[in-house]
Amino acid sequence: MKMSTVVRKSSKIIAPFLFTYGIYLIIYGHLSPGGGFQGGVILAVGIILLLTSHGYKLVHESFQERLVKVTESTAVLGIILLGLSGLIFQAFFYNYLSGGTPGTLFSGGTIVLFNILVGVKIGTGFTIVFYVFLRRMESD
Amino acid sequence: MILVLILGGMLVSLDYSREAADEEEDELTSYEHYVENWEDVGTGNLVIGVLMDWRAYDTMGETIILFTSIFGLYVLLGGDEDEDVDGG
Repeated sequence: MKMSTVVRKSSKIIAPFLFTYGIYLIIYGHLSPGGGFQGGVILAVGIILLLTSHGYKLVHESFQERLVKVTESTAVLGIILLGLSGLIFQAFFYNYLSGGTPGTLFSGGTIVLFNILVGVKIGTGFTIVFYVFLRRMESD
Repeated sequence: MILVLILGGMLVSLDYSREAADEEEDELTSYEHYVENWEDVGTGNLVIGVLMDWRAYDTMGETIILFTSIFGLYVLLGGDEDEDVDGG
């Protein structure tokens, strides 16, 4: 399942910008519109764009499925641990890193970490879903 | 069916009682509380402030639901081509 040369080349050019935009949305999610979920979905869309244009095999080789699965599970574990680590200071999900002048990058405290973990989890999660469905389609 | 009706009636009555309480006492609603205490979280984005700070456990629940659904999908449909079929 390969598309024409024009589609392949242009998707190769667009995909890095999509990844960069997704990472920007995740990291600056607490200051501007965006956040973990939205940025993670855009990360996944970058991989899905490559999947549709280059085919399953090539992308599956460069983004190893085992690595994607381990990253997703680690992100979920990290979210739970981040919530539990708030218990040491005051309460579940207590924002113990808060401080700094509002409006700067480090003003969010644990919100930034939480955003990054959620974004990684969403991006890898949707990638796994597409891997599974595409494999199912190609085997039939 | 009867159980659903009873539960629905309970929800509706709860909602009405809350509205009545709001009219009687001059308490802050959740929306006003969030807007008044915006400076507490130190974020420029109030939506993220609600999602990731005041309601962080809610977001964690959502994430775990998504993880469980992907896990179930993988157990049901995936794992044909991999050498290890442990489901991640």
